[in-house]
Amino acid sequence: MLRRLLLAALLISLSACASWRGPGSIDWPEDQPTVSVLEAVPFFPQTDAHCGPAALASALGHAGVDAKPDELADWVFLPERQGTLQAELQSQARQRGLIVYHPPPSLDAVLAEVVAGRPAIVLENQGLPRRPIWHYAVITGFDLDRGVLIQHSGTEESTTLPLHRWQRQWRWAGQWSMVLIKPGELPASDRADAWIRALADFEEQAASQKHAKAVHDSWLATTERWPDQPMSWFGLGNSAAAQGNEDLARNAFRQSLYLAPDHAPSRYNLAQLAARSGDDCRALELIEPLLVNEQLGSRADRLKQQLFSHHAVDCPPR
Amino acid sequence: MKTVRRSRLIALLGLFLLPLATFNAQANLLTTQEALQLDNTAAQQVEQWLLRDDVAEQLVELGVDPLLASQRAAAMTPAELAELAERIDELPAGAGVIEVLGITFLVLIVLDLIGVLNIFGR
Repeated sequence: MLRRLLLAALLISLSACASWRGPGSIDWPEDQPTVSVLEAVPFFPQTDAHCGPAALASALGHAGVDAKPDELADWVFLPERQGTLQAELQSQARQRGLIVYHPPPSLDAVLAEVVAGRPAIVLENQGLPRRPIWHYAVITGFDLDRGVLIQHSGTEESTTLPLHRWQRQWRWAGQWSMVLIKPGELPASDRADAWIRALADFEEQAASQKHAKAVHDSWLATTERWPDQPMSWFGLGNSAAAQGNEDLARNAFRQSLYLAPDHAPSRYNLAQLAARSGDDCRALELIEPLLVNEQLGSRADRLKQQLFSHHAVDCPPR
Repeated sequence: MKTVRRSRLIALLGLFLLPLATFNAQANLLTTQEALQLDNTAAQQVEQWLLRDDVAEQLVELGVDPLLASQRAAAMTPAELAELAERIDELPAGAGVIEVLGITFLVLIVLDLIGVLNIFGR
């Protein structure tokens, strides 16, 4: 009985290999190199179950942030789980001053980041879909002509493995990857929403004045690359306000309202800026349509009360 | 469970002190992160404060030093907190390659399969 089961399992795994169509099946642009290897990505051989800290130390080190796996383990390792959660790799990378970006879940998006000079931390399932063995590795290069991937993994430095085998392990782990982006830089892939979220999360969670200028530069670069996105301008508005540049902030919020006339957050922040500069009538005018807004209604109402508590606002009829 | 409830109480107390703590020039603008998660209702946003404590407690239960646990929870985004609070036990915890024991077992199975050994007694 056992023998028959094992044979069946073996046949299933063989057929999975056979159905793969080779490295040519990835959607790889003509103008991109088919071979790319990042030299000198720091390698830290994993000890115990510390592949998370080791992978994070590699990616951080490549981005110019020195950290040792042992020290990182205090921040990302869960002793009772004998492993590291994705969320903690993300939050810890942010704490160390880098923006955490998730490329779209496709091989070409991950490889594009490698070409752009960023090693990618990936989650692999080295077991089976129903019996997972989770593992983090760092992709440092690839050779599509030979159909191989190069990665730091476990105790092996720059180890080469067939793309088709890796793709299965990656697919069984949900095709998750993360790259660390220095403030001021932009990701390789053209995915505005994921990037804007990554930058906003960094801005809010890293919460350090040290990065404020660089975050502002990142938002400026974001509006240049994705000028059609209201949230690009909204983000720029906030970072400009944080820099004390209220003129730029106002213009940015206006631009996002111009692109999306119903953009309630932009309207709300414009009202706040108007109130801050003493233009109570303008603030009231802006806030009025928001009073019935499902998400921002109570905040808008609070601002209105605040304006009336200063003094009786007597605005000219419009 | 008791400790979780106590932490909720403390977090609720914290909510009343919040307006004092966050009184600065930036506080009244809606942050970009907040704007991105506006689809969560206001009630869910209040929950963030409770979530952070819940997640910290779960980290402690998973063997993290209590002092580090609260800092680790504090570093997470609302989305990360919500995910951990909801299903920390199901999330993948990347650990390592197949250990020696597993490999030995696989070798035994293969040897048995090709008939070199007969361990599983048929």
